[in-house]
Amino acid sequence: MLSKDKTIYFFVAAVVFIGLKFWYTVLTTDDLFTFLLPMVTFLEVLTHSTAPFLEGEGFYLEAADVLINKSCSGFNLWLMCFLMLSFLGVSHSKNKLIVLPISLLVAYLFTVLVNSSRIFVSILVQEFITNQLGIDEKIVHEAIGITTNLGFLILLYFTAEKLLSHEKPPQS
Amino acid sequence: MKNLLNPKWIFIVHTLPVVLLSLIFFGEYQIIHTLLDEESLGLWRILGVGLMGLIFVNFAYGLFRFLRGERVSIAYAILALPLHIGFIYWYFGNLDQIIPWTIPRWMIAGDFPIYVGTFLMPSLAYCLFVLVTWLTPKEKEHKVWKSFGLAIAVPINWYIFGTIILPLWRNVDFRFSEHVFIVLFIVSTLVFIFFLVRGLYVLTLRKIKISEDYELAGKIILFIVLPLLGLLTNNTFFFTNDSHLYGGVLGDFNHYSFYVLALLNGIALCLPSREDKVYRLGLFVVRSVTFSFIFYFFLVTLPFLPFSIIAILAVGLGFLLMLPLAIFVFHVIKLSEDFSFLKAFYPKNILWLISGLGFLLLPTLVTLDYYHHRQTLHEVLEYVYEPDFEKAYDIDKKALEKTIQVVEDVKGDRFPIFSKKQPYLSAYFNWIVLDNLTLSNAKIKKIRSVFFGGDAEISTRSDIKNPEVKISNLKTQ
Repeated sequence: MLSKDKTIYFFVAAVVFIGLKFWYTVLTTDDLFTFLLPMVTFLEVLTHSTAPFLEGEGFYLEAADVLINKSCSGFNLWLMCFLMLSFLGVSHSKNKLIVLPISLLVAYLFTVLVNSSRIFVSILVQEFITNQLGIDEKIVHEAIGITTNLGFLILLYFTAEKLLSHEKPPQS
Repeated sequence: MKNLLNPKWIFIVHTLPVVLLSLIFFGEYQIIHTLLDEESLGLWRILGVGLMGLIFVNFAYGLFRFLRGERVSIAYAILALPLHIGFIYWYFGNLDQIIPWTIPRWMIAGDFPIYVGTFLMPSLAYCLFVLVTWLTPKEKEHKVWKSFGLAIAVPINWYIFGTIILPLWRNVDFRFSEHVFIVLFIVSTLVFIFFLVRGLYVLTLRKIKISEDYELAGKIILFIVLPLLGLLTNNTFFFTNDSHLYGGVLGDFNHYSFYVLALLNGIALCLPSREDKVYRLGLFVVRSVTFSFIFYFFLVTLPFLPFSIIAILAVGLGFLLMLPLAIFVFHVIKLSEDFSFLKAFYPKNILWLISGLGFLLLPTLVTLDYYHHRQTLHEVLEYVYEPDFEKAYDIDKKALEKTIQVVEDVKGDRFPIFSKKQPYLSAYFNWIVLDNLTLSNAKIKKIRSVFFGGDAEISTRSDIKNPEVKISNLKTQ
């Protein structure tokens, strides 16, 4: 189980998490420009269209006629993933000092990929599912989001856990 | 025993905040109780008893464990979480009666309604950490199902914490119950499907281990038959009269090269890994070359990965989506094994160089092909609009036809799936060949008329009134 020094690292991760969570409440879409930009760029490639930035509003993805703003940023997913990876890293890794910054970075890259996938899949199939199955659009949108985020989160956990708990064979 | 499972944490994360919360509520009650009706007073009594009960039960448990020198058990987290969440739900559900609208708002502190969620959040977070600590696998579990179940419970815990528990620190609206239901429904569906897939995977592994004769047959099915079937399914999914309008489900992969590469990749993966350095080197080269092909399809299907599991239960489209991942993983393992074998005979740097060059071969060929299209298009545009009469033009009409066709398709399609585009490749094509621009319909029509026959729009600038007048001869000096 966790020893004292591990607890300290996890406490720091929790503080970072809480701090970022509070910070998010005061951020606007314009503040999240840098955060949104890689995801929007990825979406531009996937949808083969452009997404100009409208100040105060967000990125307007022309191909899909959708506005990507603060609510689509994936910030909460980033924080959740960061906590999960931090805990895993602190539990398994010998070099705990770099766990938190690396977790932040990996979680960010993961969020860009997963959030882009979520928006991309929503654009493609949401209308189809809503029309064909007669389910409320908001419920379909939410279900797609949960499936994408949770599905990838599970896969990330399995991958990270396997990588971190893998023991190198003794050198001959 | 200084760690998260030390019962002293209960006093810090639960007893202290909830005692504070109780004092705040008591203070507020002292101010407003004379303005409350019988129903509200009843709810305040329940609130008081509930808070006292929570403090007493948790403190008693913590003290009991502390005095016995035992850790906080997983049962505590499993019981405490629904208890606290239930309490928070009850509170928000009755908030309108606990703090009725008849009470003047200046009597109530601004953030008062969210105090319950806020002050109980440390307890909820602590229960989560206890769960995760107990569930994170340390030793290899002998029972496969238990190990898998525990492993999958960890990310699900984090997700439920982030989407259901964490929002409780603030007031929740009426849609929150619906949100919780959707989350739990999807979670349980995904868990079921993950267990199903794992069960099939374990069963399949056991069957293969029964006889090695089946190993090659299994590989042929997985690496040759299914990928070709997948391409076919992608390209012929729309069995309608409009099928010519669509390239395919995930993109237009009708070109024969996709089938050839899929077959070549499958053969490369099916070939045995003999202990012969020359043979193995050749195999390593081929696998490095085809790796870029499988990596491309891995990227194409990556956004749909969580849905592939659900899609398996549906039309069978799941195979389209999961196969590239399975083959990608196997391909990486095979390359890694080849590398480990070959490094005994060749320098590592050379092997890295070979694999790098092999990986880049297909992308390079694609890039060169696209540059050829670019040259052709520029030559054509120059020929049609700004001809250099001293120059002899040799236009590759086949390449031109393909370029014009792609430009027309791109103009018509919105999205890269159910379309005639190829994910990523079309964007790359547009960047290299067209500089991310396009050609106007008039220009496309003119080019077609010049090189392939057909009507062209005549420029109104010349305003020809007699259609019989044509230029019959042109000489330059």
